[in-house]
Parts: sequence; structure tokens; C-alpha cells
Amino acid sequence: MRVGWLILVAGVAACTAGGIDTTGLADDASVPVPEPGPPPVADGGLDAESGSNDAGPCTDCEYFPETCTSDVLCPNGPFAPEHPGGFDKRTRINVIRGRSQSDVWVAGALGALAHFDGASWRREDLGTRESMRGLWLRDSSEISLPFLQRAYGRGVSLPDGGPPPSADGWSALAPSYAAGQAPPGAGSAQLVSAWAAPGAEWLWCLARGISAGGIWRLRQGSTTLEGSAVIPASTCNSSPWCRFMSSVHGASADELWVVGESGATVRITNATGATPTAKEFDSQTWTALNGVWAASASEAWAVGVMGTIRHYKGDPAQWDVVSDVPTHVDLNAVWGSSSTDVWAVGDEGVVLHYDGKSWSRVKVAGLGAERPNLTAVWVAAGGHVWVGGEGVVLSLRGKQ
Amino acid sequence: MNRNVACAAILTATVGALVFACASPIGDDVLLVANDADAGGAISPPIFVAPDASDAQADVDQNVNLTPYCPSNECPEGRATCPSSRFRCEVNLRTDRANCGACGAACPNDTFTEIYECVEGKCEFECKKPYGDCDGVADNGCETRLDSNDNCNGCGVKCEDPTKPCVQHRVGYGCGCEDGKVYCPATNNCVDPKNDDDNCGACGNRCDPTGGGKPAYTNMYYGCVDSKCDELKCKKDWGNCDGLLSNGCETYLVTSANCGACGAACGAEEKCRIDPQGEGFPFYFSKPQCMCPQGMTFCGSCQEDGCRGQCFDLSSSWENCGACGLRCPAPPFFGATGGSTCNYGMCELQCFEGRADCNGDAKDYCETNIDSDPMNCGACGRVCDAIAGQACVGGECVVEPCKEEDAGVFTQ
Repeated sequence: MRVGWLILVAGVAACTAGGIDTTGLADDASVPVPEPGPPPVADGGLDAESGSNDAGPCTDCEYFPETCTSDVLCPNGPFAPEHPGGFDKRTRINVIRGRSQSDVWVAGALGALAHFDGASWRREDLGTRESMRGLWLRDSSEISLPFLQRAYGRGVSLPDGGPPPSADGWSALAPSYAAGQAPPGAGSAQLVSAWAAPGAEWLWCLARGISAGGIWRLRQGSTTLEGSAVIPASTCNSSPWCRFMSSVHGASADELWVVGESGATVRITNATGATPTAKEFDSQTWTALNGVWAASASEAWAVGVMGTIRHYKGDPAQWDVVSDVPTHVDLNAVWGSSSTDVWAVGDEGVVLHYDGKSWSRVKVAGLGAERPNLTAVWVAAGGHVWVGGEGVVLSLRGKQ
Repeated sequence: MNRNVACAAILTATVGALVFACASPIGDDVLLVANDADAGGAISPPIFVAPDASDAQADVDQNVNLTPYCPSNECPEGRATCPSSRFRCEVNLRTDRANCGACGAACPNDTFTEIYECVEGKCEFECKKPYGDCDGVADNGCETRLDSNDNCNGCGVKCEDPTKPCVQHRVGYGCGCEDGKVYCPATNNCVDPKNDDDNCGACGNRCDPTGGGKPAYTNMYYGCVDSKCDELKCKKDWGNCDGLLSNGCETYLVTSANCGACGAACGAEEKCRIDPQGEGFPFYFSKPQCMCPQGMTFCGSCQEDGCRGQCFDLSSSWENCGACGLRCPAPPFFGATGGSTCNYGMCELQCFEGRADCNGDAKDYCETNIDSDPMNCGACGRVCDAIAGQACVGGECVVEPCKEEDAGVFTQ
């Protein structure tokens, strides 16, 4: 048995500081009063997590040291005031991608886009305040997407026909879609995830809304970005999962995973072909899955709400339950460099690492009392991880 | 992510626990909250423990004003478990329209003239505009229209001057027109006789745009000025900026140099556009203006004759969140449990008080009733299981004053 001393200690502190406070003491009337104890958790109970993004005396201090050291994550990104002209602190990072340790990109709300060259960050002027949700880093060009009907490209040899390029050379692009395969308007379905294998022809995109959504893929055509629906709208609308997907990733260009609401896990094969095939797997959960990362054709990780983690290990029909997750907050993204170096990030500043044996909490320094929700992660190589969230970009100090 | 729940319940629970601990005179180590959270994950019910029976008894006796509380499986006063309830003690008999004062005692449905609410366990009604309950008889509800000459914006308020009947004002109704306008019985509306080309100086006095054969000038016509017809005026979106009559209204007023008025130049980052919802609404009266101020984005469409649209802050606009036209999901019309807000360019689900999105699925919004669900009481996964049948009321696990004291262990 583990006895929770937290409330007692806090109570003593309160008494000492202010004497006996009778506020809230009830008379004999039988009325609902606060439950005199810590809120039980659904399972596990191993954490002492703060329920607030702006904690006072914290119950999770051990995970949020003040000093940045080599083994903890520390702020390292294009946010003001450390970087004059950098992102506003309110900016949420939606996606991090890179080609190497010295070629890292972050994109987020209200036109936020920045590049790390291995030594310093530089903010890019996209010429728009649209919120960016997807990045496609091609061999010699970069494309940033706010939604499926628009993209901003640099180094893309396509006529744009729109306004002149931004000061940093980014041009607005309008993808064209095959007849009857155009995605719904940006107001109906929002881009939530985009991914392409290195050097791949196709960028896979998920869009989701209350009444519309689906899976599309884009490629560079001779005159514009060309798009098509992977699953026809008529089929997608009748599917229990197609319209509500959240994340896409694959170990190769030809085979990938998508995960989403209601615990949906779907493997798409023949992804580079004309007619990809989708097969739904059993994730053993009904809770929403927010992120997926494939280590290989036979191994993948998915993370979701309330600390849900699922592990695919090659079974023909289902994913395995991971029960030793040291958190109950919502997990929002997952990435790795190998099957023994996987990272997951979530709300309230939670970062987890899997070393091939188990998941453990990773400390985050330099946040003070803030516990920002973390929404993006990308791993360049073993130990070289980048994490983004609400008003923050983190990396392991000394391992950029 | 994007799951917002009311934190008040959690804070209240913590405060309650602190008060209980502080109030004990036994000492710093008297009252513990045991929380069995071993590796198996089983949670034992919270109990309030004194380390020594005699000490505890003595201390309780000395503090007669203090009330120890224990978990309860009873409903608090005013709460009930009705046949329609999904959870124990779910119904608030004081406010539930379907169970007002008693299970099944439903308030009448809203009518064309009344809205019914359950107030302190009794059904009461409120009048819809423009109706009023002038006779004070509840049985006939809101029987009187308050937009008539006998009852203008209030019971018994009469409009006795035939030239000043009861008409709609910006707020409510009143006798006669506002802002120097006059009432025209033929059209049943209020007009501005000083500048209205169709009602110049008096109702129905329409000005001849040719001035009865007077000289014509470019982009000009003859209209009403100071209640007089036959005065030269510029056509919409044109101005006589050089002051010369010979070339008429020569300047187009939808340009960056002259936007809406002569010499009204736009800033470097702005362009002259037409806001259909702006000054001069509706759109055919709308006046060109420089758009958009710094930090705002123009959302609209451009044709050969100019651009029409509005300026929005993409960081907070619900209908243009992070991009023009990117509307945050609207809640369902019926049974809404939450909506969405635009938080610095990103839509976020916002649950109504007492609701939470515990499964992370946007399509069912805030599916969990954290006000009443004992498995998610006040927060997702917060379980009321101190004793069998413990209900969740208002996001709190129900407790009541302990019924007996037994060897220093206050429990049921």
C-alpha cells in the first residue's frame, strides 16, 4: 500500500501560514461538500500530476527542474523574447519535421514557420497569417500547408498565379484535385496531419471535421500540386473511421498507418499504387488516438487520450495494450528513431521515452510554473529529439 | 488535448480537504487520507483516521463546532434519482424543467409567447418579446402584445398622438420615431425627411433626379438636401474632390488615395475595399473603407469592381480561425454539450460547465456528464467509490456528516 501524504502536508502548510481557516466548514446540514481526499484515478495512480497548466506549489516538480542539464529537455526554439522577432508565446506548434540534425523545421499557428540549421533558428516569412498544419520537406524544396486547398512552397518549380512571393521567397500554391475528389472547404474539414516518406512521390494528408473529412494525397505535377482522394467520399462517409482520423505515418512510402477517433487504427498498403488498400485493426480501445509512428513494417506505436498507448508488433489483426504508461494526461504525438528510442508528448508538459523495455517520464527544465500542452515531436537520430507545443520548442540540451 | 473541464470542482475538493485537516486540533498528523495506489492500481476508499482513539475522541469533543464528514450513498437535499435518470442523484429538483419539484413534474413546453423555467422547484414563466403579462393572471400567460398604441413597450403605456404611433426603436418600442425621423403611415416606417430622396421634407415627396430638366453633370443627380429637392448630389462611390461643377463628381471613391471620401488615403498595408456589413449597411449603402488594420486579415472576394469582405483577427475569429473561411465546429443545435473557440489561430473544443470530452472524440463533443457520472466526477477518470452507491453531485462525490464515531475511525 502506498499512502498518499500529499493532502496532509498541504493542509499543515495551510494551517501554519494562516491559522485555522474555517472557510468551508459546513454545519450539520446534509449537503454535498468537497470530497476530503485526492481524486482517485481510473487506473494506475502512479503519477502525481498537476491538473493545471499554471500550477502553484507543484506536485510534479520532480519532472520540471529549474536548471537545464544534458539529460533533460530545455526550451530551444524560435520564441520571443529569446529570439527577437520570434514567435508569439501564444503560438501553438503543430508540426516538426526535418531532414537531419542540422535541418529542422517547425510550423504552427498564424503563419509560424522557422528553420534550425544546426546552430541557430531563423523565422521564415510566409507572407500569411494562416495557421500551418503540415510540412513536406522534399529533396530541394519545402512546402507548408494550412489546409488542403492551399500550400506555400519555396523551391517549387510551379507557376503560382497568385500574389508575388513573400520576402523569404514563399509562394502561394493552389493544389488541383481530380474531378469529384476535391476535399471539402476548409471550414468543413481541417487538415490535421500530413506525412511523406523521404523522397516519396506522395504527401499523405488527413482532414477532419464534424460533418466531413477523409484521406487525400498530394504530389507535384507538371503545373501544380495534384491531389486525389484516397478513399472516395461516398465510401468514406459510410465508414466508421475514415472521416475521423488524426495522424498518419509509415515505415516506408508504400505502407503506412493512420489512427484516429474511437481508437481507429488502419493500415494502408500499396500506398504508392493507383489503388491503395485499407484494413482496420483492433486497437483494443475506444478512446481517441492522436498520434502514430511506425518503426518498421512490423512495429508501430500509437498514443491517445488519457495516457493511452498501443503497440503494434506484427499481429495480423490487432495492437497490444501498453499498461505501464506513467501518465494519465492526453498524449498528442509520437515519433522515434528506432524501436529502442521512441518519444511521446502530451498535455501539461508530459514527455515520455521508450527505451525498448518500458516507458518513462522525461524531465523538462526551464518552464517555471508553466505546463504547456505539447503537440508535436520529431526525432532526428538517437537522442536528438525536438518537441513542440503551446509557446515552446524543446530539445535535449547539448544534443541538438 | 483540447479537453476543457471546469476546474472549480477539483479546486473545491482540495480546499475541502485542507480545511478538514486544518480544523483538526489533534495535530499535524491526525487526519490522513489513505490512498491505496499500489502497483495493481486498486484505489481504497478515503477514510479519516485518528492515530489514537482516546486522543481523537477528546479532540472531537473539544471542537463541537467541527463536523467530520464521511462518504455517503444518499442523495443531498433537493436531489433525486428519477426514472429518467442515468446516474444516482442526477436530478436537481430545484432547476430541472422535466422534474420540477418532483420526479416527472415537467414544466409546460415553451409557447409562442412564454418561456418556462424551473425556479426553486416551481415552474415559472417569462414573457417573450413583444408580449407581456399585463393582467397578472398566470393561467393565460403573456396575453398582451407590447407593440400596440395601448401598450407600447410596457403594460398600459399609451401612444395617444396619432402622428406618433408605437414603433420599433433600436431597443424595444416607443411612441414616435427616433433621431428626428418622421413616421410615414403609408409605408409604416420612419424616414429622415432631410436627406431621403423619396421622402424629402415630407412623407412621399419624391425628388426628380433630373431636377425637372436642369443641367446634367457627370456622376451627379438632383436629390434631397436639408429637406429640399433639386439639390445636386454625387452618385454612390463618387466624389466632387476638385470642387468644380463642370466635371461633376469626377473622383471614384474606392481607391487607395480616396477611400470613401476625398483625400482619405489608405495606409501602406491597407487597400480600399467595401465592407457589406460596415457603415451604410445594407451593402448597397455601404461605404468604402481602408482595410485592414495591422493584425487583421481581409476575408472576402474580389471582382472587377472591387473587393467586398471584412477584416478579421485570425487569432480569435470563430468563423475565420487561422485562415479565412476556416470556421470552428459549431455545436449541434439540440443537446449541445460544448462548442468551440478560436485560441490564437487554432480551434479548440470548449465544453460547457459540467461536461467533458473524456474520450477525445470530437464528433461526440463533450460526451461525459462530469456533474453526475460517478466514474468521472468533476474530471475524467475521477471515481466516486469510497462506499458502494456513492453518487456524484455537482462534480463532487457525495459526503455527509459522519453518523457515528468508532474508536477514532470516523466512517459509516
